[in-house]
Amino acid sequence: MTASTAISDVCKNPIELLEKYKESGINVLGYSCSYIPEELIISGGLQPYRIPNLGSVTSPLVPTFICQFASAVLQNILRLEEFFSGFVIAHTCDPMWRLYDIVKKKARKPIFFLRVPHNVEGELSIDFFKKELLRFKRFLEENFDVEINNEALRNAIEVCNMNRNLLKEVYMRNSNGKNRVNGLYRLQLTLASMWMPKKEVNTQIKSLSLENNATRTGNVRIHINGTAIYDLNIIEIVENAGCFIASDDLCTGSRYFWDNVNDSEDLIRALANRYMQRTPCPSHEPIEKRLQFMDFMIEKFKVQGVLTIANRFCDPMLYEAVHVREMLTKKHVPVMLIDYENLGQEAGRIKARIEAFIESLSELR
Amino acid sequence: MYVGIDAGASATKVVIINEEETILSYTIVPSGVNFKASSENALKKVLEELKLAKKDIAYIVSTGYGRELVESNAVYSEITCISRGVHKLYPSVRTIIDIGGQDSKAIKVDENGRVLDFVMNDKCAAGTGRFLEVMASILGKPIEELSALHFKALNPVKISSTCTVFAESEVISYMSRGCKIEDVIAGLHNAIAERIFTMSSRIGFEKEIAFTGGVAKNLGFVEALSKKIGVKPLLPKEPQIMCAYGAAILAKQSFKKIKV
Amino acid sequence: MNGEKSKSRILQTTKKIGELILEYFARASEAKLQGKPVAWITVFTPIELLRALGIYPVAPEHFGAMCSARNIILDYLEEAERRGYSQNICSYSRCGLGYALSGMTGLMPPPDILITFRNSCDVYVKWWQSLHLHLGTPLFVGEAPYVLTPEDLDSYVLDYVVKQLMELIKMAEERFGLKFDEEKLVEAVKLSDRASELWLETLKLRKHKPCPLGGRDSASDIFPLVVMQGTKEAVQFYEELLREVKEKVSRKEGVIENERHRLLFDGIWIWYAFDLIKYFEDRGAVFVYEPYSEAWAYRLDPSKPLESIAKKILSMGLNIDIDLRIERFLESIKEFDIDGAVLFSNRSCKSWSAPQLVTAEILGRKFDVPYLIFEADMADPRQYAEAQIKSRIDAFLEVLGER
Repeated sequence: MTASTAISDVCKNPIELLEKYKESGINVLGYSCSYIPEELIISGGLQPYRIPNLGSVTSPLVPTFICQFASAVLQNILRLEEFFSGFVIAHTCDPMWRLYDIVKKKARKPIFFLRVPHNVEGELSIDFFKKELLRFKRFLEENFDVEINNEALRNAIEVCNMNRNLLKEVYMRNSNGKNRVNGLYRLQLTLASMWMPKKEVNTQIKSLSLENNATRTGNVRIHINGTAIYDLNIIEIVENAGCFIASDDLCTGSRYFWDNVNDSEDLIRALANRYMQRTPCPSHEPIEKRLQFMDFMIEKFKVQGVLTIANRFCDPMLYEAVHVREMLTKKHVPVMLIDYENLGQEAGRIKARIEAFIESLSELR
Repeated sequence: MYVGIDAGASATKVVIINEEETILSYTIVPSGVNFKASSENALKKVLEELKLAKKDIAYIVSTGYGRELVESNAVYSEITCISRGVHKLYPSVRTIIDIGGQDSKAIKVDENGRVLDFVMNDKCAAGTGRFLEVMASILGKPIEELSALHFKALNPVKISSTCTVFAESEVISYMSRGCKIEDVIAGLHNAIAERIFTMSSRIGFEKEIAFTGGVAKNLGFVEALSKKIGVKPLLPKEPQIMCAYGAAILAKQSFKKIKV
Repeated sequence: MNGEKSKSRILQTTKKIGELILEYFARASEAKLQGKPVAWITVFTPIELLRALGIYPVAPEHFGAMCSARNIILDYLEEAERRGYSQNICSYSRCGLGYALSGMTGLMPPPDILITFRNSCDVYVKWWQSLHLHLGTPLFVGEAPYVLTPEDLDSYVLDYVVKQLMELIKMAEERFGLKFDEEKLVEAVKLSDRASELWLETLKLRKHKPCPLGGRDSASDIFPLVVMQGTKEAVQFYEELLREVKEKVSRKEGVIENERHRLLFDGIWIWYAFDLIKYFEDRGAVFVYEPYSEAWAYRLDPSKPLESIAKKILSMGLNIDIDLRIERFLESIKEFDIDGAVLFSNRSCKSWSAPQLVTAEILGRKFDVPYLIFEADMADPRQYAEAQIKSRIDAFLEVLGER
């Protein structure tokens, strides 16, 4: 079951949306990650567009042991450059860090590197991040001839908070063991929120009737542990194999919308607070916050099993997977790691694995 | 009668059992590129041998790589099938290590043969039958001869690469230096055993431990893996059909459920 | 091409490194026995500061390199892999984790504190996190933001690092009842600066023809600047080394007699395959410059100790903007009269390898420097295709020979 036509169309063909923006003369700023405040981009009059790793592409500019995610995002930035007015890359993991280096040498459009402290806790990190956001604000103002004042920022924060509230509300419908809105559906709403104008996607989400959206209820309630998933196919494979994705901790899932920006005299500081205090990404510390978040999800959504989905060369996930497994083993929650580089080639293998996992879960219940 | 069809990437195995879950007949044929055709031929063979017809079959379960392409009543994963088959044969088994043509698995089961946990290597040739096939062809020996040669080895070489492509270079280098072929083969068996040991460590090695899969027919390799783990494993007489056997048992189970 | 083998030499002073390493580990165990806190650090961490606190630093990255060079790394790698760590992650980290998970009864004493500053890579954070979760040892994760322009070294970026150093001091004092000694800091900074000064001077002497100090020397000679900064022993070592190298220069004695090609090596060394360096030398090719060797030296200002150290942490080779890195490459190619570049695409170091192809392309296309790239792992001997790599080297040297 897919979301509204507008949303599902965008998810099927996100590049088409870029073409529409170009035709309408809208300035699009490509961004790499959920640490980048869309609020700042929007307050500068630009349309934020999160760059996916879709298209089964890889870049010949990086070695084969660089994860497909970074490789594909790089390839997409370079081949779709004409649709963007500029790019902002955040410092998360090593390949994404070096992606900035490479794009700087290869692309012509203005590009900004947002230095995100890897230890997100503590006043020093928040203060440093605030200064980075001020530097980002100056970059937007200088490169796109705009002035970002408090009013514009406040409006942007409001529309983003609204978007997050709507997404969270949909997500919470699965709490306490209810199978209401499946993972495929929820991912479409979240992705659309990263590509479409916020006001429009908010209107679309508000107008959805969610009462009849729980199809493919499946038997086993699963939590997806991972980073950024844009490919609906992997979600479909998981849910077709007999799972119901009740919850997740993805960068393109719950962690994207879980926390709001609070109002304040100092709005840049408020942004820094929100982005530093939300559950960190796998590339960041402290890992305890991530494990606690996952624990919360498992309890709240009555999860029966966890699938860790990672690119084969994703360092943050490969380290984390060991500790996730240890935690879940103590909780007697079955967990399985699915790693891949090319979904097209590996779909059959992944399907077989998940089916085996589901069978073993069904047996033990 | 109940039938289990394991449509593996290299070989298709068909097992037919009766109400008592005894194996009446079985066959192993190359899968080729047409799973439907090879499974049908294999089934025909088995039925002809028993002088039975298709209508005598109550239920078919298929499993393995080509399971969806084969005509059957239900589909199960290899993990579940192997555990069923081995548990029937050896109820005391708690750990199963299956080494097939294209992948290897370690499965932890409980006293009822139910799967508690499993781990797989399905991405990489090293640690599977494919690795041995490649090496055997470089050494110019049929796979069936590897076992006997293994037991002749006095000084197994050390194969350090974990990648099939790199290991090929090592084998060629050893042979050109005049190393004995049995020492190279023993070295190769040790290398695979090492891979499988590492993979399986996560599951643990609770006794009893059974080895299954096509590569378990190679007793030289079985020795290498037993030594590495430090255990005397249970070895079915026909390790390659355990998965199809389990599928047949599941066929009976599923059929009974429907009837009830 | 010609297979004429030249005799290649290693410096006498270099041979002392083995002993230095053992002494350093012996002192680590002593410190542990005396109840002094031992820190496991990632390199390019403020060791000078740790001396002022009385904390003894030990570097698992160096441990990984050493285990690999001495052929004892496999057990640790396999232990980590058995515990579920993928073969695709950094081999230093697999070695360190495998060691930590198997009782730590070897040369490295168990840590009382884990300290890292993210400058080389994000794996620092992940690896140290994992050690913290396995061992329960207190963890300090510092951030050294990516230096985009030289101005960052005088801005809020520097300020952030200095403040984190102060937090580290506070944490150490509270946790271990230590007292930060400002005088000891200044002393350590002076000694560290002197060692850096000597090493930089020594490296400059590689401009001479024939080059007096080759890859097998520089790979070992860096050790005192990896973990022994701030000690008198480090200074003594580099004084001795500089004397020997000056002598070699005055006698026109080089690593090899028939120096045909002067090469740059980009990457961490392949610790289990030093014979590869000799393979080049036997064919008349000597390494005269490596960013890796230069990276360990940094001039410090004893009148501004914390600030200097903060600048040093920020400025480590991988943590400065790509344009600054390329600039240094080009400078060094001129300075050392380099004919070609060998780039090691290290599976264990994505931070280093990811932009390498682009850098190589710039060197080759824009500046007409012939280059060779090959892939392997720096410490895991199972990921090394010797025959394939050597044939690539042969082809590369033939190309150089034709120029």
